Amino acid sequence: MRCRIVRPNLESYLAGELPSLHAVDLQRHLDACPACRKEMEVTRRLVKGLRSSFQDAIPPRSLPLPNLTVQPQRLPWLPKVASITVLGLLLLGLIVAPSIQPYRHETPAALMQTSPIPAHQSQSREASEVINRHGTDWRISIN
Amino acid sequence: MKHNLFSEGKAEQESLVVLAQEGDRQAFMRLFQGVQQSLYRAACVILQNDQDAYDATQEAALKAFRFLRSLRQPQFFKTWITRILINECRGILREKRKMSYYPDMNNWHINLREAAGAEINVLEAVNHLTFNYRTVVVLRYLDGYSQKEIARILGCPIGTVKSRINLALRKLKEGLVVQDFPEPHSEEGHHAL
Repeated sequence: MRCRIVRPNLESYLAGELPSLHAVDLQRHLDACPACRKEMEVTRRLVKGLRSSFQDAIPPRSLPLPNLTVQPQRLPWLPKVASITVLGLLLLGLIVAPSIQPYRHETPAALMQTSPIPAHQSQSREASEVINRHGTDWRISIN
Repeated sequence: MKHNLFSEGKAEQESLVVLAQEGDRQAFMRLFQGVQQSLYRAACVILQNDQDAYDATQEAALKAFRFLRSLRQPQFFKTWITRILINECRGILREKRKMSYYPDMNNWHINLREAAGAEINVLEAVNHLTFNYRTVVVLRYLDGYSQKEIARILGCPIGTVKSRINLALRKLKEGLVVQDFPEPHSEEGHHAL
């Protein structure tokens, strides 16, 4: 283990938050390296100074409890809105899906064969208008 | 340093959180009493102002009670409310920066100097840290949180917390001399850092 790896881990080591294997390696390095040992001592004293300073400098103060004028809010609105939107889209899909017909690709020749009423044999004026409007749609029934 | 999360058992804390989530104000008050001093002291160091710290603590309590139902794991009540407090402190500092309003900071320094004597050097050095570094130092050495808990409070990776702590300590070492923390019966106490 090298010094540049040891130095950033000294604080965690002092707090006992290093994994045991890593701590053993670090201790082995400290035993052999006086510079890192000195650095660890400085860090230890700084940490100790910080803790005692914080504890002594801000004495406990008697604080009044807050006046809870608010009510606890229900669960956040976002999940509710999201679930309502998803349900709405599903319902819309169920309503609209049956009215959508699948696309059928057919050649003009196939259409001519399957069309029961060719456009040139229109029986009535009304029927021809319907056929012209819908092109070669063979599904239109003509009275 | 092991921080005393609450004086009561964990199971009781969790049941208090559940009661408070159902709107029991007394249960929330009991919970809040267990963390109030710790929150106030943290806010004092971060904001460097007594009154602002008090306001931030009160506001954090109100927000915590209001949004308590969004806390899914009752065992994390303290880290959760600390996160609310840190966000409040950030907001107060942002507002102050907008208004360029820092008259109370000097008073706070004077008050602390009277109260703390020699300890002021360390606190002054901490006050010179930026918000992110000051926050991790306070959470680590005032409240005694572990790196994992600080990461949960700040919502950042543990690696970020670790590097912030190391950088903050490095800055503090640069700004202080070892004799500020004399070690009894130690000969190394007078080396400059």
